[in-house]
Amino acid sequence: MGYIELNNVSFTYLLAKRPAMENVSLSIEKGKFYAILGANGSGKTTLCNIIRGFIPNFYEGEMTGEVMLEGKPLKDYSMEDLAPKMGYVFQNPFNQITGARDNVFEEIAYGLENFGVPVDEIQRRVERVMEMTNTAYLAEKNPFELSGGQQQRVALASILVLEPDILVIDEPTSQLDPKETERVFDIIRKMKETGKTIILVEHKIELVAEYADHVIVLENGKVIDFGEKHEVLSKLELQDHGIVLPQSVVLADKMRKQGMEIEPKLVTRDELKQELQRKYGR
Amino acid sequence: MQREEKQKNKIAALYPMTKFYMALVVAIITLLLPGIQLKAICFICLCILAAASGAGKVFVKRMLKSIGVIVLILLIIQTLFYPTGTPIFSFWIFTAKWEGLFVALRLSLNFAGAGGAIIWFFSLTTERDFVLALEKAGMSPKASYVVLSTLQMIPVMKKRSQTIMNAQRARGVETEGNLIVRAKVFVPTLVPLVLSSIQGTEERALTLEARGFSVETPSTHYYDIHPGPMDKTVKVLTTVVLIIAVAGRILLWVI
Ligand SMILES: Nc1ncnc2c1ncn2[C@@H]1O[C@H](COP(=O)(O)OP(=O)(O)O)[C@@H](O)[C@H]1O
Ligand SMILES: [Mg+2]
Repeated sequence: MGYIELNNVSFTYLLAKRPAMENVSLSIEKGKFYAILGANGSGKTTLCNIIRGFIPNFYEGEMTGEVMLEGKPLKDYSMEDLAPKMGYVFQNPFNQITGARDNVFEEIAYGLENFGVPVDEIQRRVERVMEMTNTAYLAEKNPFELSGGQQQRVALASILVLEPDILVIDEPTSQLDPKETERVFDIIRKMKETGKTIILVEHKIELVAEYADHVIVLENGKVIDFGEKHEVLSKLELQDHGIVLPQSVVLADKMRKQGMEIEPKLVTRDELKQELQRKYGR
Repeated sequence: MQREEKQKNKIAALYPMTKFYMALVVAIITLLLPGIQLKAICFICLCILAAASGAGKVFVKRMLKSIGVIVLILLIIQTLFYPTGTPIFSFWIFTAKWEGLFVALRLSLNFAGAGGAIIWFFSLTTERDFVLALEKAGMSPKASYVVLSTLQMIPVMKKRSQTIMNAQRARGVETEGNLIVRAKVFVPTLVPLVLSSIQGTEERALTLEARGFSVETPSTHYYDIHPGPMDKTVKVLTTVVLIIAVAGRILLWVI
């Protein structure tokens, strides 16, 4: 029994011709980091919404199958129970600025206010999260006047500050530079170390290969592959489905074709480097 | 960095509800008292109050822009078009009359007193403080969210429509010129603006949900305001003034 279970879930948006999610079954373990891969429109965001319960609670459509959280159907949880348990960072940063507050510090504090957290604790938690997400220098700014990348970090901070057990994060680095992207992955790694379960949609494959534990690959609303990252990301045939594989996987394949003997399932640069040093290094 | 902005001015630093009560009383008294002289005295008192609360400049500017315009129109129309009465002067087909002037002055002073009180209140109080005070007085947090977010969204929308306009200008669409030209641009500007806002609304509603907006537990306020020791005194004094004015009005009416 997984922490989160999807049993044969299908979903068709209202008025849509074909399902956005079809017969998806997944089992998600507590405290692990799952990356969702797939082309645009393959259903990544839809899957996130299903896991968070916004589908079918908020988006209209036909849903079959069942989602379970800690052995209890997700639909039996109230929004109130779910909000502190499962944090969700949306794809579009602009729409995540609530507009309820006119500076970044209070925007990040807003969720804590709603949950009735005492003011001195708010102060502590917001300051810590701002430090972590490199948003402290934006504290006094109006959240609407930030750049896309800054808004993206504020959106992430606004959820992190709630310290939910599960983090569902939809493309959080789409507008970030490499340095800030690395920072986000570093935050996620730290979150994982504190026992949080992470479900992340992300295109940057090298970082997924380095940080994630498991990978879910979607195509046209179906899961075409799901498993431990070394197993999934080393499958060259995924390239035929438009999935970009890590450089080391592609490189290792080329080297093998040149007759070099290289262990299978090396997905990060470091793993490949070590293997090469071991076999061919002086 | 708790945001507890301490107002230097004692009047400006009063609790929003206290200031609102003062404004209300000024408006009531102005409307209640008869005669141009008494109303004029009320208005002068309001001006003194505005100056004393350190908002003189803003008050005058806002008054001229809003009430000033109304008063000017009233004066011209009433004075020149009052049907009968003693002429002051006349030119061409118009005759200015004393009676018209008095009616106009009466109305103007009512506007200046009541409208001015509201303007005074908002030159001293941020919307944020006012909404927070209302929320603490029992207004629903949903209503306060709607007010605050709307106030915040207006400049964002303005900027966005500017961006769309610029994009269209870059594509060679004429955005400047006469009314018809502008009207033609209006629709293609509005459609993406409205569509993107509607699309955003859905996600923003979910964002609020994810931030515990509809959670029943009483929320805390990071930025908070409380009535100070002065507030009670000011409220009592204001009430005394109100009672005296009402009593005086009844007395005038009886004798
Ligand atoms: N709110 C919606 N209403 C109708 N169809 C939608 C909605 N959101 C997404 N879809 C459709 O569902 C499919 C999957 O979309 P989505 O989950 O957003 O994909 P991804 O996040 O992988 O880009 C797409 O075909 C998309 O057009
Ligand atoms: Mg998406």
